Order: sequence, then structure tokens, then C-alpha cells
Amino acid sequence: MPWTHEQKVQYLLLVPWTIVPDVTPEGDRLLRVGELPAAVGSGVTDEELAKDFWESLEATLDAYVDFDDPIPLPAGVPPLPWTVAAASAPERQPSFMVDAGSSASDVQEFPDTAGLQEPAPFAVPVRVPVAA
Amino acid sequence: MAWRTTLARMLADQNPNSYRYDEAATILRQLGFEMPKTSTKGSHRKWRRRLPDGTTIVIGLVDSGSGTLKPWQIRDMVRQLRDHALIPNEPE
Repeated sequence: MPWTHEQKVQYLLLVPWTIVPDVTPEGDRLLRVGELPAAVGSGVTDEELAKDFWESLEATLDAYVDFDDPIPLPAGVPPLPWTVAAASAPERQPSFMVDAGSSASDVQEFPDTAGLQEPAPFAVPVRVPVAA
Repeated sequence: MAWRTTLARMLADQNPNSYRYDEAATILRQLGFEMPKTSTKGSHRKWRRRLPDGTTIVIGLVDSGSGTLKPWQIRDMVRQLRDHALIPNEPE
């Protein structure tokens, strides 16, 4: 079954993004995502900052997914499962041959399932660092 | 061509604290950016453009209604436009 837009975004939210705290010359506290310059949250309190950051990250991921654009992932993160499945799904081909003298019970089937299994999602969700 | 005037003002502005969301959004639209259909949750607005080499640029703004954008939002927008040489008539 194909991944839905929402499933892709929820999966991407668990990627271990590089979160970089920042303070502007005006004193605004920010949380940025190193790989995604558009994902920036701001807020006065820690709670506001975290909430705004996640909203911004989700909206950014929404944009990438909506246009089916390639997403710059952090180093070491495996390819996204929906892109792997699309790229390596084998064509439907007979995986066995039957010679004239064989009966159906002689046939052994060896389906090629490489590339069809979905990698397990990240087990540990990324945590937002609390800026000092 | 008021958007070009606004963009020129932004580029030279040391303290870009007087620009509204609709002004910045107009500039991005004129430069070929578009907003995804899903980008309507909350106040975050993400503008996206794909370059001929396949690179995707996403620029974030915050639609605060009639208020002004934070200076860092304008600085981020200008930096991204400059990084990708998307400012008309500006040498790379």
C-alpha cells in the first residue's frame, strides 16, 4: 500500500535532524534545522519555542512531500522507504522455469523480495534541546 | 513593479523590521516560488521553488496578519535568494 502524505510527514518528523539553537542580534531565540533552512522556530519561553519549532518543521516537510521533492536528510540516515520501494521494486517476471516433463508439484518458486521490505522506523524520536 | 522596489529596499536594509508577510510573499511569487496546498496549518508559510538542476529551495515565512515579519525572517529569505543567485540584476 503506498505511503500517504500524512504517513510520510510523520515518519520524517522522527528523523534525527540536526537542531541548532541560535539567538538573533535582536535577541530572538531560535531553533534551526541544519539540513532544512526553512525550518526555524522562535519563541520567548521554552514551551513556545518548542511548539513553534515543531510547527515550522512539519510545515517544511509538508512542502517537500507535497511537491515530491528530494529531501536533504542528515548524514547516516537511510533512504526514505517510499523512495527505495519506488526505485527498486522488481518488475513482475517469472521466477521459475518449467520444463516439459515437470508437474506442478515439482516446481519450486524463489521469489525475489529484495527491496520490498520496509526498513523499521526510527525507534528513538528526536528530542528538542532546551536552549540555555 | 513595486515588488522590485521592495526587494531592493530589503537588500539594503540593515534592520529589516518593517516588512509585512504579503510584501515578502509577493516577491517570492514574482521570483517563481509557489506554496504547497497543504501549507495552511498554523501561521508558518513555506514557499518552494525548484531550480533547473533539480535543487529545491524552500523559504519559510510567518503570516502574522497585519503585523510585520521579524528581521531574522527577512534576513533568512534574502540569504537564501542570494545563495541561489535568484535576485534579479544582482551580480553573483
